[in-house]
Amino acid sequence: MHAESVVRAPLIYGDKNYHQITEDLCRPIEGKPTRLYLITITITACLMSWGLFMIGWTVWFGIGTWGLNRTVDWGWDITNFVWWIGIGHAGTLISAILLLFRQKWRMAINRSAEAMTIFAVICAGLFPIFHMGRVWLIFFNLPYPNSRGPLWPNFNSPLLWDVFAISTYFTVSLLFWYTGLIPDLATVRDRAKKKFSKFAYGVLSFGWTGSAKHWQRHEALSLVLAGISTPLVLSVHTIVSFDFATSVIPGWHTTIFPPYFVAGAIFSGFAMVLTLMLVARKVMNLQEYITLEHIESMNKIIVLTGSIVGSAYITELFVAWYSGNIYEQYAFANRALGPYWWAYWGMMTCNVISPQLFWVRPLRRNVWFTFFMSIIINCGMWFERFVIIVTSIHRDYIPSAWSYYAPTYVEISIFAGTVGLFLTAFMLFAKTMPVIAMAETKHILRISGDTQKKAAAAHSHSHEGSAMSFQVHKP
Amino acid sequence: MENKTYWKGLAELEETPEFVHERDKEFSQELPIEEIFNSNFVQKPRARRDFLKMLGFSVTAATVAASCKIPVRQAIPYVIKPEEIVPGLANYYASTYSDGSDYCSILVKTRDGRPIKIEGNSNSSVTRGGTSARAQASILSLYDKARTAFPKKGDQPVEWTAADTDIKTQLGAIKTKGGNIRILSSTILSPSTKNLIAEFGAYYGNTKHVVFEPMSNAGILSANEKSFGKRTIPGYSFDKAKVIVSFGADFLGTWISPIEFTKQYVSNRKVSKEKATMSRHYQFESHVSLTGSNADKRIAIKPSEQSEAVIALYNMIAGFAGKSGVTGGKVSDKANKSLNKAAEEMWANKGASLVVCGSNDANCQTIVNAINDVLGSYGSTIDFDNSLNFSQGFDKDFSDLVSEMEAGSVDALIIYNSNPVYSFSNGKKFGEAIKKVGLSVSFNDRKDETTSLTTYHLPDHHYLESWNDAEPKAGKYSLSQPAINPIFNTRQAQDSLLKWMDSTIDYNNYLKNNWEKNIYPTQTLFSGFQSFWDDKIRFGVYEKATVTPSATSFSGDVNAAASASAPMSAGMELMVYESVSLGNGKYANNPWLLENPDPITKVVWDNVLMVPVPYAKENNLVDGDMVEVNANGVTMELPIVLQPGMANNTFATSVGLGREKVGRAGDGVGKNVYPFVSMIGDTMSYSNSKVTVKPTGNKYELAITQTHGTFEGRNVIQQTTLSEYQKNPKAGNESIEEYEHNNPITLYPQDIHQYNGLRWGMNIDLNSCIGCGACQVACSTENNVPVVGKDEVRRVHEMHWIRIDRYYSFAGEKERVTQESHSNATGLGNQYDNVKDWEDIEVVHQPMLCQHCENAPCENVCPVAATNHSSEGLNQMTYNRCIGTRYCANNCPYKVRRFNWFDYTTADSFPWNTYDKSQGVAMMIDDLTRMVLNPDVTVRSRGVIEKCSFCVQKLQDAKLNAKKQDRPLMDGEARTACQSACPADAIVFGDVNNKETAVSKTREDERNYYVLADLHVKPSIGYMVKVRNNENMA
Repeated sequence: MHAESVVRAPLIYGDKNYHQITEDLCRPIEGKPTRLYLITITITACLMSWGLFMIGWTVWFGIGTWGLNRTVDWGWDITNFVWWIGIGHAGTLISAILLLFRQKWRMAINRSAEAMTIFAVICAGLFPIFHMGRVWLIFFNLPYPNSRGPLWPNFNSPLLWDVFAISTYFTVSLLFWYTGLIPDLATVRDRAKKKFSKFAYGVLSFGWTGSAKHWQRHEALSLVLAGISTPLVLSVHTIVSFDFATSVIPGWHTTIFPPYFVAGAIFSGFAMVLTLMLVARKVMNLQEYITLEHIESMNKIIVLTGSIVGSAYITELFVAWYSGNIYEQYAFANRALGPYWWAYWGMMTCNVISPQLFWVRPLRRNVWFTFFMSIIINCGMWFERFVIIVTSIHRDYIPSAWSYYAPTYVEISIFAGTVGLFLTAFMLFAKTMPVIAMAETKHILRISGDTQKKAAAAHSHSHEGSAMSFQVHKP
Repeated sequence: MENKTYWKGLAELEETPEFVHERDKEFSQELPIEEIFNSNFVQKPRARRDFLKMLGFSVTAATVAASCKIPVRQAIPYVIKPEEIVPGLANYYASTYSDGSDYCSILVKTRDGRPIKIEGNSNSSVTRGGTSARAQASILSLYDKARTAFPKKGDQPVEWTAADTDIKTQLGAIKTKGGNIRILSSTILSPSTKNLIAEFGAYYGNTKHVVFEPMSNAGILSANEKSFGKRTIPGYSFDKAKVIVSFGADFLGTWISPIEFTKQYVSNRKVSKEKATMSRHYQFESHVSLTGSNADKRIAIKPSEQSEAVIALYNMIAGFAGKSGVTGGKVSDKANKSLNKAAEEMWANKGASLVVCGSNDANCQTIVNAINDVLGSYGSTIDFDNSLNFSQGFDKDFSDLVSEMEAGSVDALIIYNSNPVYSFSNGKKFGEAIKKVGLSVSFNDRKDETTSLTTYHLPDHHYLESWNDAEPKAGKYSLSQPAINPIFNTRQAQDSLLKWMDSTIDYNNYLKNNWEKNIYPTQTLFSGFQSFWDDKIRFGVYEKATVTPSATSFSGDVNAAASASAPMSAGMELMVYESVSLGNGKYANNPWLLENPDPITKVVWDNVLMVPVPYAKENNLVDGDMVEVNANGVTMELPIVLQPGMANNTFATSVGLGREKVGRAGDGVGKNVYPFVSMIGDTMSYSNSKVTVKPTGNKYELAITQTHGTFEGRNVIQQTTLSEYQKNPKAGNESIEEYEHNNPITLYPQDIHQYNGLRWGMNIDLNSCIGCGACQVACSTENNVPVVGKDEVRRVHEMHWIRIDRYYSFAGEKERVTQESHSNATGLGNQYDNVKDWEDIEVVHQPMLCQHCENAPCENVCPVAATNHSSEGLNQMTYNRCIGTRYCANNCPYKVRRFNWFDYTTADSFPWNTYDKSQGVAMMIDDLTRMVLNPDVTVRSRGVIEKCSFCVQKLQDAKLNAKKQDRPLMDGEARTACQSACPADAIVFGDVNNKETAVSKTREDERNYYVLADLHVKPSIGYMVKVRNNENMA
């Protein structure tokens, strides 16, 4: 056991004990869904269905139903792909990197952030799949033994790297998330009263009994997965950035992309976690678990990554000027002043200027302001991807081929559909599984719980000697 | 330390069965290794880990199995194989494309009995193997479902015999009463047909043959009659002219004999170190024509200034010759300066200069004749001994016919390949007049605007189904032979005339007889007619020796002509011109031509009003605004395009569209602007003064294939001037040294591609390319490139594998302005904010197609290796491997890759999902029209990328031929479709591994450069620096 300074704000407020935590976190699962919940999920499910229908429409008639053209061959599809993948990054970062840095405040948010990762990656994955002209031949991407020579995919292609990067990312994230869920699912199973719930949670919890051996394996697996996930945080978006960086297109062909994309991904991921958690916190009465300290910590990461992204933008402009490359110079002048100026300035405002407001402490700790900013940042990051993808290719080398791109209702619907899918999945998750990792929260209760901290402080004040001996006895 | 046992509970200490059960559950199950190696493993229940193995195997097996099955389509072999037809091999037949004033000597490529491609016939000294977009596209009209499939009386089908009997009876009655019979046709190049018509006239008496040309050159005919007593169009030699001055004559695009003139013109535009000279070309014109875009100096003048400019030039030349001038000749200072320069240069090159004029005004043409006479052009660059037979329409004949018809004095009207209800300015009047004609018969191929008003509609064969001949130029004959059995129940017009003359022979024999009687005796090489005939059928042409031109004496009255010329008028003017692709409207149902961009505006599927930019800026007009044009008493709503280079007070629009009854693709496309044509005196005038244009507030979405007009000063285009080139052959191409120095520096392994045998390469001469677009149609034909229709082009989905980029540059302070401003917040459209003089533009045309890069950026990004590099340097597409990620198209710096956005060809595996069934697409997916597809080229399905293949099927064919004959491939044997079609010989193609080939030699030339060479993608297509002979042209 180690102690935490009393100066450090507690991570769990209220008079909590282990049972109380179980009660608090299982309540939303065990209760009947509210009217508001049903209305919301109906709306999101409708949105999702409409998007899926539009995907079917695209597959049936062709990519021509989108606004893409001979010059701009990627538009909203890949913009949304990169955006969703970026959003997913917060989950991995919280699970893996913050775990390795022993940031205990991650306990309150890691579960939902990981769930968000899974759903975001599913949404992201839809785009590269269905942006293909002949989606039914998707298996050509896989290096499977075949009778065509054998014919292998092109291992030089960043798109193929994407296939591996994203499938690995999805698999590891899913395993990590689910591994963490098992003890909590077992808790829910043990409390379940209905036969079906008992059975379902029973199956889902893989026969968890909470024995020492189970815990030992659980911890070991979590550690291994954290180890695997850590490089993934960096690699996935690096590889996504290679889709652009390895090309010859001015505005894409940039070595700065990997760090710039990773920072941007974490930036947007945290913004999305905040958006969801601020709502969940209010609706599910979790203010005592997701505290202002959590929000502030996340806002600090947002300032950091936002500043990295901002520096990257400015570096790009500098390099374009300094390189003396006329195509590069035109590409950047065109971003700022060309027909898509609004996207560029939208990006600059949302991503560079507005997050700097979080240097002000009261704003960092203001729930409403944070919520507003989280939305702004997600818009900004969407603009960033749009700016990189569309404004770079709509005017590249040969002026005669320049064109303009605007999405059609089909593309907009598919994007809205993925938002619907994401929200529906998240709401189902919130209703069926504990949104805060119960077991892990219990781990930190003794150290970071408000009551426990106060008790420990009181204890150490009245028995100073014993506090000393506590230190001495520490192995 | 002693060995103590710790226990957590009594159960553990005692090891009760319940405890042991629980404890064992915590440990993993032993692997059933021994069982696996047991012989009866198969019977054992599956172990947990086998499940994954089974799963993996079955998924893989299912994937492999599922990916192999492709539905088999049956092909039925010939039961009795026709002679000459070998399935899979093409046959070529020499023939002639001749339609009104369009002419081209051709080879028809047929596969399994169906014509699929037109190639130029190099045996002809007129077209010399060149083709035009229209000649290339004419093959599609053969399979046009809008052609009338059987004879009709009114709207009812009729038997040929019944129609013949009735018509013969009626004609007989007319003959008896001495009534008038009129035959109305477009220009007829066929001497046999002309003979036949004459005989028909003699048979029935009181018969007159009237030729109607919608875009007439009657002014030239009439002026020549006055000047020389010869109502003919002389032959022109643009190759012999060192100085060419054209007053609005679009001789490379539409004027008289464009293919012939292009060949001539270009031969004197090519430069090399050995021959560092080229002709000088002044173009005084009102709109931007194809010819003007190629001129060294374009001077924008308004239409009514044209006669004045011609007079001014006459006065200057007459001054040099010591003759007295004529009155008039007041032109703008700018035009005056250039006219002075032109006059000086022409006088210095007396006998090697040429003045042509597109005006249809006989007075103006008389003065042009006078200029050419003073310059001694007759007998050198112009000659009447090798005259041209195009454009025989005499406008007065036609207007007289209309009056006769209105007066009811025409008893029978036979219409052959003419559609005045559409193409006459007062078509309605003609339509009314037809009703007063007792018997009206139309031979037109479809129920068009005129034919739907005639009594009988007896559809003619398509020219590819017919026997015919042509004499485009005096003494240069060519033959047409059928390349396919008639598809519909049609009959050749000439056969109908023969039938009505009670002749027993058919036109084929008539033709032969005519040749035997009139043409065979003019030669001495063949001693029997049959061998002569067979030989000429095979070669397509028979040409008498060119006559040495004799001097011609000019007897025109210049003074009278000058004083009769109308002075320049004030205000805005409108001119009507012929579209380069679509011609006079005959081909308005041809999707290939409809989708072939206008060489200047790059608009497809529409005709627009070209508006000078200053006017548009003053009136806040932008591209696509609808305006109401009022001229010649006619009001019409047209969409506008802002056109740099227009004379500041001139609007222009083209004829060729706005058909109402032409077929599915062309009906209602564009506007019919023939009503703006007016009759002035005896000739039609194609310009109007006192024009008003009023914005209607409506917007129209134009389908334009190029929306950015300049090349932004990039090394996409390299150009120089002739004197710079003479000083330094590397002029304009200085940057190549830098690239040659830098290019070997790379991080990547060098020479990853080994080219041990052939290596294909191409070279395009920017000095030769005139931008006509013949290559685009030829490419679409050869490679089954889909037509996508207007809406799809609006959405920038056009599929052309080769496009012609057209770039403007403007007069600047020192150098010409090639850049547009950045501050373009409106999306599309040109932003030439810093242009001072909108009339002064220079144009360059650049064919752009897949560059077959050695370091191709498209190749390494494809996840499935669907695009790859051949051992002969081709960048090839494997359509059935392509999954359509479009990454290659994004990463192509030249943007030449095309994606099949929809199922344009019905080649998709999904049935009934053609998204857009309008216009061209619907026509091209029709079963009959699909007969035009080239069976050597895969028809691409939806969702795959396609692009130029360097016509790999033709390369393979040539290689195979050489192999069969056990010899190396010769240079020039393998030709791409664009190369063969080009009337300007701008494209050279061949093996660059062999240093002796033409293409290798061009690579050694100092003018050779590569587009975007600094990207180090190593393209296989070199371009030759554009050299302009444009110094001191004022």
